[in-house]
Amino acid sequence: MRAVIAGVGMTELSSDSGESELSLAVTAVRAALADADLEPSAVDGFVSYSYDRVGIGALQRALGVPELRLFAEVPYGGAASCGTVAQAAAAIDAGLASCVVCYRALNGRSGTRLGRAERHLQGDGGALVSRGDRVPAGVFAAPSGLLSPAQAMALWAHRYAHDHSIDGERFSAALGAIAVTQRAYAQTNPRAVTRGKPLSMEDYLTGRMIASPLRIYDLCRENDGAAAIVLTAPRRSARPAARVLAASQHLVPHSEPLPVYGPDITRLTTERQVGELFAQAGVSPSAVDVAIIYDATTIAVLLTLEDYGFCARGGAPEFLSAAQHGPGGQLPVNPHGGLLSEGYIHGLNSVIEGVRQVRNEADNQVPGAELALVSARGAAMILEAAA
Amino acid sequence: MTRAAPIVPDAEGLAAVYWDAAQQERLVLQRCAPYGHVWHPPSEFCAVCQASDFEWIDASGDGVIHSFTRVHHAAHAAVADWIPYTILLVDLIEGPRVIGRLLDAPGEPAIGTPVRLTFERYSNLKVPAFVLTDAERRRNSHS
Repeated sequence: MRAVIAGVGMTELSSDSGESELSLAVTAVRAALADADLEPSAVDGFVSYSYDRVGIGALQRALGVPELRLFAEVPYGGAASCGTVAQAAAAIDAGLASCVVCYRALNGRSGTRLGRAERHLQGDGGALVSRGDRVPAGVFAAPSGLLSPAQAMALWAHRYAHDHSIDGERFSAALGAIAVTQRAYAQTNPRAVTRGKPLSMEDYLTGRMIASPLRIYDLCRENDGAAAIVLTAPRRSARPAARVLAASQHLVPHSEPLPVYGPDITRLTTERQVGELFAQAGVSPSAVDVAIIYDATTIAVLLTLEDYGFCARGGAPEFLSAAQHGPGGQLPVNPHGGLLSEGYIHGLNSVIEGVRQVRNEADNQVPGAELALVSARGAAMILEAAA
Repeated sequence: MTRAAPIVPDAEGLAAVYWDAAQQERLVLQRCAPYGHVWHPPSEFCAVCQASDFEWIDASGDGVIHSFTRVHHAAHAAVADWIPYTILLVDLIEGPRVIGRLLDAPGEPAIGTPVRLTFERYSNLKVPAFVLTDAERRRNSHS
């Protein structure tokens, strides 16, 4: 692909923003446009998450964007972090638009919490009512108490441990290595909501069990905030940019929004998607300098390391226990702390970390990083420093 | 006195057929006419051959645990007094995978263990659920 990420922007992450989600979105988009040295009048496209409650039209008016040529939404939750960017980049390459903004804004702690079930269950004074057939929280899940994303991911985790004969102690050590390492990274990230709250392996292991085998520290944060990304065609600029070398989003039956019915719930994407992504980029997994992996829970990181070819099937626990995802390791993963420890803007903040890494301006910069993989289950991109 | 279910389905269309059958303590699945593919959750179209002519069949009730989680923290206050409880994914012998709680089993079950269909019986709702098979119960009581 040719499109570049020309600018990125984020609001502060907080537990109570005191602002509307529209206001957060405006702040993030203005910051991203300023980073790209562009005015709102240059924008001619928006791609948003279907889950976002800030409408494209409302944001267009609030920013003073005169006319859009592209306006699209990407469904099914966190995979939209990479899906929005993939569609924006493709639209730019095809000439459909020239300056596209991807955004996500949510009062995810003070408002609707994505980790809980309230948003899906309506009360009528007596029993709560579930509707639709989504998992979790639809009519085939909620009456049995399958209510939250973490519970669905716990089902993936136990199946993985079973398939690879990993005992509970070894599995906890692997998942804990993700939580502890990402928390350590967050201590030197000024944006991180967990800065000043380091986590030891002992803390992790004594953490409250939420949905076995996942403990409290296996789950991402919930907070308020917004993030935005500006894409353009390659251009001359004093600002460093990140080229979208390759991007894709794949969907297989029964994987939306979270797989429980599919044949293999321990695979979060397909061999075809990964093969095509690396082929499009013209690189192999071993060429990737840093991986930014969507981490609503730790198990998603573990499974993704195998899905994207960084570890053999069943090999991720050993990789993690040897701290190969940490500083100086074979493949640093989520050096901003991830959604687990930086905070949660539904993955778009993690895409921004990928951009910072290849622009060589990250807080925990991987030395000499030129290629970053950013993935969210079946959606992903490979970023490189733009010439 | 039997208590009311804390969460009830507002099912429409084919999902309502499933839930109506559950009230008669039957777990129903769809089977396509051309090939006999069996599926769940309900859909107008067979996920394998896309046929839309199907019949409802009753599941035998036998299956094995595909995966599980034991929930220690309620994701909604409505189920706070269930804590802890166990959610199963069960592979039925007919093929489809279904969701249900494991009843009468205090610890963590093993994946691959045979289970048998039962129902949570509330004053206002019956919900498909599972118990360890009699053979499994006997083995556990001796271990």
